[in-house]
Amino acid sequence: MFSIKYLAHDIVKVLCFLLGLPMFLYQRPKILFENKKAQKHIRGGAILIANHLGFFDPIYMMIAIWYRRHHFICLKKFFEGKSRPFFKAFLCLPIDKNNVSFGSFREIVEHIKQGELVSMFPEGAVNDGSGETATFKSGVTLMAFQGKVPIVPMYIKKKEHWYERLTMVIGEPIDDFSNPEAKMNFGLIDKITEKLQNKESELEALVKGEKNK
Amino acid sequence: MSMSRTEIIDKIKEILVYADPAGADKYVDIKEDADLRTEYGMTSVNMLYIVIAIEETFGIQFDNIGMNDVATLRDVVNYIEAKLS
Repeated sequence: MFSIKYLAHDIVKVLCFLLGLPMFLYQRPKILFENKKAQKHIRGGAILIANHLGFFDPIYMMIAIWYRRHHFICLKKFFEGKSRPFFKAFLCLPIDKNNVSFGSFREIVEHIKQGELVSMFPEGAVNDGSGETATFKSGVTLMAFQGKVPIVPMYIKKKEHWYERLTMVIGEPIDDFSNPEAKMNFGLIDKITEKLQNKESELEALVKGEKNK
Repeated sequence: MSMSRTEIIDKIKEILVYADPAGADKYVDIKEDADLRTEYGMTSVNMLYIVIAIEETFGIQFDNIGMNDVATLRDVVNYIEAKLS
């Protein structure tokens, strides 16, 4: 209801909406695909990985793969205190980086075995600001081996200017894990983790190439 | 399943050699009180791998304990013994 008392507030609100909506539409994320296989919807259990630039990355991942529920792996510290209900509502799975528990690892693997999508950042932390993707931790590979599910790589491009649209690129799923004959050992885990890192670099090159076109 | 401590250690050594064939030599005389991460260069993922292999080999399941609770070979063997008894 109109009230002179809230006139300034209401004007600001309307202006925000009028200016914000076109801005939102203009700034909508741009999603690219590496190839035709990457364009296919992710079905069944899978792990989605991306580089980690900031707090909003999980939202970008949810926008890119909008048709699935994401279980995000997050630090246990976020699950302590007042933020717990928020992270629980977002289906986050806590993990203690300093003292990984076997129970939390088992819980993550159970989710992917049940056909759910687990999303995570193999860098293990938010990027240091350089824009360079840090070395991937190999936990993601072990999870995929245990769940026998593919890993879907994704690259989020850092915005250079505020007016730029956010660009993300989704890669072809890597499925080196469903073969029951695969002899898993430390060497193979490291090798596949390196392959994931290389794939991330390829996606980065692809998105940068797209920009220069 | 009843196993002696020596048998448990031998099985763990087999797991370690299978997991890390390139570094197999270092596990021949592995000391019970050696820290698997600091002295044998294992990462937390390597430790998770070893635990999964132990669970499959011995038919046990680790409780929701942290990796720091089984830092040495002695901790691991004690844990398996307690589970098997």
